[in-house]
Amino acid sequence: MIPELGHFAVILALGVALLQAIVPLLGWRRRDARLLSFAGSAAQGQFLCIAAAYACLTYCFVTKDFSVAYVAENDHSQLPLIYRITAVWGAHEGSLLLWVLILSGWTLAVSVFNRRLPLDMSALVLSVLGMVSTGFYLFILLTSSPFTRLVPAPAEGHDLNPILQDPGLAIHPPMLYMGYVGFSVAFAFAIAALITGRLDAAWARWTRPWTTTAWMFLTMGITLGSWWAYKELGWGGWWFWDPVENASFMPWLAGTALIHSLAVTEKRGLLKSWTVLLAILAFSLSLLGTFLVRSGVLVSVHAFASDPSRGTFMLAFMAVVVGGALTLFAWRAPKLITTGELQLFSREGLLLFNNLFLVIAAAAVLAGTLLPLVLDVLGITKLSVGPPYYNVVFLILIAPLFLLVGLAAVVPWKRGDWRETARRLKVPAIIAVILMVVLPFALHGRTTLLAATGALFGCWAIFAAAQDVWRRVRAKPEWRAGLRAVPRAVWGMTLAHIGLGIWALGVSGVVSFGDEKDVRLARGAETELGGYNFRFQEAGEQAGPNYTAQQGTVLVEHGGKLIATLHPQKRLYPSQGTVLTESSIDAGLMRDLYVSLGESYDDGSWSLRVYYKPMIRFIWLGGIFMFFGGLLAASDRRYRLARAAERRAIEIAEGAVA
Amino acid sequence: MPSDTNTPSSPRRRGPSFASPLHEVQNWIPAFAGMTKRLGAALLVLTLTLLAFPAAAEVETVHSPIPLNEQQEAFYKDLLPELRCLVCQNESLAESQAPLAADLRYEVRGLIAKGQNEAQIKKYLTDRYGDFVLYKPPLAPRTWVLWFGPFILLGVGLGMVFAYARRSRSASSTSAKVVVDQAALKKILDEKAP
Repeated sequence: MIPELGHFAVILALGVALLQAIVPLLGWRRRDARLLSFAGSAAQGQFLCIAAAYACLTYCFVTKDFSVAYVAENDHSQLPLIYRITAVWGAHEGSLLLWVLILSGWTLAVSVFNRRLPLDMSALVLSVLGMVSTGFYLFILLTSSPFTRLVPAPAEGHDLNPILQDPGLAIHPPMLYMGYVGFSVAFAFAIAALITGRLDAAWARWTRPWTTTAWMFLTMGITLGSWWAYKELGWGGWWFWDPVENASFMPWLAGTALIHSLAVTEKRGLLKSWTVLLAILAFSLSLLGTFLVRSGVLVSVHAFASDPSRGTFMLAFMAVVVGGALTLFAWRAPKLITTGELQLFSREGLLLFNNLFLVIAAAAVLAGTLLPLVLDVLGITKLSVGPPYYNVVFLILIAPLFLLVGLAAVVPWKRGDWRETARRLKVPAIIAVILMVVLPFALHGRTTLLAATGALFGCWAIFAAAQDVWRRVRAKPEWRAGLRAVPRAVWGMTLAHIGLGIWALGVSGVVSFGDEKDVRLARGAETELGGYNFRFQEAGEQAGPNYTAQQGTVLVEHGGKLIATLHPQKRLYPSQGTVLTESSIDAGLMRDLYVSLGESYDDGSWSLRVYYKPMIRFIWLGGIFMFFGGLLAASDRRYRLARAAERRAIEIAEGAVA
Repeated sequence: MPSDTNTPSSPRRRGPSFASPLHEVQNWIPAFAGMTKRLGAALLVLTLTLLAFPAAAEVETVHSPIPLNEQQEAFYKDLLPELRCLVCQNESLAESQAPLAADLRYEVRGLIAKGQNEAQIKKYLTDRYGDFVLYKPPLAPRTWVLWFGPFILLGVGLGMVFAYARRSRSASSTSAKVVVDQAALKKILDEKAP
């Protein structure tokens, strides 16, 4: 009964979404305020429907209703409760349900927070979001319903893929989807602007906090994914340029470009059509990512071709959304009049270069992700594009961004002054050059070209960003008042740019000085890595809630002192017969010590992988800085003030009419 | 304990190697049916092993690490991440725990010990496994879009940026910001009053 209710709720949501897409459009054509204001109610009704459907599926998982095919495939009677709840998005059908739930959540948020937007604008935004929802509901109902029954019901479920039974992966997909899907709001604003022809500073100011919020979630989602891969996949890597990772990284690059170009459009009224195009691009890349991950095309082009219904639907949907948006763009964009002069050496000029490099970096990732698929589909050849490609091409394309990030906070809008810029950036530049030489030696005792470059770029980004806040604080007579006077948006930008610098320090540190070893150790034997002594003490059995584990004990000593006891495991999940290595990590800000178990031998010895990972935490710390930067920027009181001012203006206007 | 990147292979894979295709191995079983139970069981285990690691059966499986000098070892460590494990979802030879990857690692060590250089080793591998085994795609007409595409795009983009800046400078402009903001405010006011 409950699964049928869930299925019915999805159908109902589809109906409401259709109305939400069509009625406001009619209202806009007829200039009918009642039809326009229907959009908000529809958004709320749609959210109720899909939340109910989602609750139904969660209920099926929690109560282990194996008569539902999707539950039988991804649930198990011994699965801990927390993973029964997260297993809802553990595979294709449930992921899509989460996708539409989040999309509907964003839609609801737009309908609540945008009440004071001009009615036609907010109604059109909701209408576009309704169209996107409609597509996804159809996709679910036609190809991927999670509520399909299985007859006869099996006595036991097939279990959630053990690799997903991890707290990191429990929160990674919702965060990522919040970001992916959040770009749909920017997309909807862009389409609404194209329809109404109103694309001005006010439009940019409405769009900015939404875009920044989506970007912030995407940043966190990617960071969490990287952290999860590091600890769960057992080989200490934090980024592999895997197509699945690229699928989330391309929208991030486009979204990063978008939040910067929105700044230009708001402050200077320039780059209007470019900003709209970027909003379309960011969401298109989100859709592409969903297609790549969800259609199965990455696992095997041929498996995809043998069951093409899902992939075909997704491709067709993408063609409609992207094609429609670009057609509208080609038709309406020429009417967007841009006034004002663009100096290349000005903040907006530098931001334009920032956009150029970010978008082309995204294009390089796109080429590297799609070319192997295309060549394989055409039967030309099978090709791999991996780190050796990206490490050359991608790094060349993003290196200039580090120069720009330092300049950006210092060079003013409209027209920059070389001499003034040099004067203000003298100190950060000197610090960065000194640290370029000193830092690798101080932290690691030696240096490499990469480590020096990373230190230069990272310190330059950090100190140039800090310099801006420092100058603002110094401008006030008293430092506390000075700190308070710095707007949140500036704090946000500064934090995000510092995060970029921290990330660069982490990457260059771990790549230059990380070390690893594969060893076979007998009981009591030891090995040395990065100045640490690893002694393999014993291995024994350990029982988990739904697995049994071989657990090793490794004592780590440094300078004759015991600093950590690690327990790497090799888990057997009997439900699927899967064996997983669970690494054990002694985490520290400056270095991680990482051990994972390999094979056991008849003589009682084990093969072990031991890693020394200096500064790897900086990589995720950078991501966390960017997240909080986004949070501060999105919550700047300027947006709230702007809303309050608009509200007053509207109230006055309405009062005048009444 | 010496540093040994070539993890010793698991004990169950130590045994005679079969170059023959699998079905032939299976066909042998009736021939041995009359033999003692123990041998039959041993053969069954062997067959199952081969079934579990079909690819592994094609290459030498007894690995004692091939010694390399320091320079060769460094070369080996640099080269390995550029080679792809052929049976994994997306892992390099350096990371993969798959038996076939261990075999390929062993092969690569052997080639390095023979004094082959990077190009020779890569040619040896691509002759057998195709470009798929290389994480760095070769420069060929089919990969031009990959290697040159982004930079051509960068050139075009830079040209467009400079052209845009020149055009916008030649167009006369007044103090745009104020005009735009006032227009926006006026619009909001106008359109809210039906």
